[in-house]
Amino acid sequence: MLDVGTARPVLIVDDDHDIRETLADVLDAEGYASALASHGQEALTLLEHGLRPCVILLDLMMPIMNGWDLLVRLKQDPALSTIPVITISAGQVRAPLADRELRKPIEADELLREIAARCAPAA
Amino acid sequence: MADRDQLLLLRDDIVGRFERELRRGPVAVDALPTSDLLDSLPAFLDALFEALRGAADGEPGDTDLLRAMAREHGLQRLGLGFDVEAVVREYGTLRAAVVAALQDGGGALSGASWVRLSEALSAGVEAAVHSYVKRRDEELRRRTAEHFAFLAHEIRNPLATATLALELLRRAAPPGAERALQGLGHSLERLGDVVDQAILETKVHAEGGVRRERVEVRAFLHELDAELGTAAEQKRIALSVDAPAKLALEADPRLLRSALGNFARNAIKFTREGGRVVLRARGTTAGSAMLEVEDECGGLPAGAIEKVFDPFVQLGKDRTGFGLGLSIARQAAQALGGHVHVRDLPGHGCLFALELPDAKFEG
Repeated sequence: MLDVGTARPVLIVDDDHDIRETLADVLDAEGYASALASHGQEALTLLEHGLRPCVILLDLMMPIMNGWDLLVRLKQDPALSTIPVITISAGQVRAPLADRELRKPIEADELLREIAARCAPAA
Repeated sequence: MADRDQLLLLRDDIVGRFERELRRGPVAVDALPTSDLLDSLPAFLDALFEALRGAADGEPGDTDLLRAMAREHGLQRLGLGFDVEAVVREYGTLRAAVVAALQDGGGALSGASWVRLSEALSAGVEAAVHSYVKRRDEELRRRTAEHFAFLAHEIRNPLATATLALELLRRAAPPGAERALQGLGHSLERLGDVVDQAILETKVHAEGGVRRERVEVRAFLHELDAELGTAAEQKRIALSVDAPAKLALEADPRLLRSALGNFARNAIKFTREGGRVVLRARGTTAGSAMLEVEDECGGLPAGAIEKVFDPFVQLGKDRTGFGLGLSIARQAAQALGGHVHVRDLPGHGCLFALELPDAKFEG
């Protein structure tokens, strides 16, 4: 089990290293903990090992396992299907299974508002 | 013997000569089986000879079947990797094969039949080349759109990182860094606008140009309202729709969304916190629709009205630039056959309007 403090973290799933790290920094500045995965399969492994994020920030176009496939896997698993998912995509694509869809470039205020509606800060 | 009957007897000879000549020609066809190389040639020859029926008596010929077969042939050649010159050259080769077969067989055609044969072959080559070029261009547009979508994706990712990093810097900016950060923010916004504009143009072009379909105006404005609701809520802006139920338009929804979306995003951006933005529509007596976005931006600076639709115009020291948004809206309006207007509401706000033809009240 990952040690992410008492508050549930935000799980950031994006194959772009810089975006993952910057998103984590933005969330950290607002007191949110985060866990990082570089594709859907890595995220699924974290979840199968017990990680229970307050929300998943999910890129769609990724190697190994893309965001759409991860969404389907989440919805098929009763233990994971209630975790809210916000997609963050750079393409003109949709993800009907997501709770909210944001398009890159993401505005920090809008993102934090969405996070605040679903998560409690760690501090 | 009638010209058509002479040629029917020579059909297999003509087919053989055509194949031998193509295999000797500059296009690499060695690996192609005869069935692919000849495609529908025997049937095409039958249609060609049929077109000669009555030529000597001056009766009109029918080349519809020939054209249809040639169109299919053009697409088959595209699939085999032939270039357009090779497709054209084939019809010359076919003509030469007919002439040689007649000469070697001791036959001759009447002048009228020659004219009809040439006309039929010309119709064939025109149809084949037209279908070939049309399909090739469609394919090219599709690939260009795919390439742009890939490029846009690759640009938006670093743009997303830079935008978020800028926000982090803003929160801990040392004194005196505001101007540099503001400049950086404007640059990132412009970059995002340019990407959006390029994608829209490429998408419209790739999908065969501007479409016309029925758009229910009120439903369309409600969709836009829902899409921009979060951005408005962030500034506690009341975003509302005021439109008659039965107003409909013939327009391209992609361009309409681009034009109105840019008006509305712009309105939310410049309206004061806690203000109001209205998405409004009405029909005019001239049969057009007026789609308006009214904001509470405080009014335009003097002399700004003439410039607001120019790209990257900045209005006053205290205002963010309009970027490409309003310029994109104007281009979209022009592509839809409409116009954009802006009205200053002094001390209060602005009213941006998109006037489009072909509006009607239904039901």
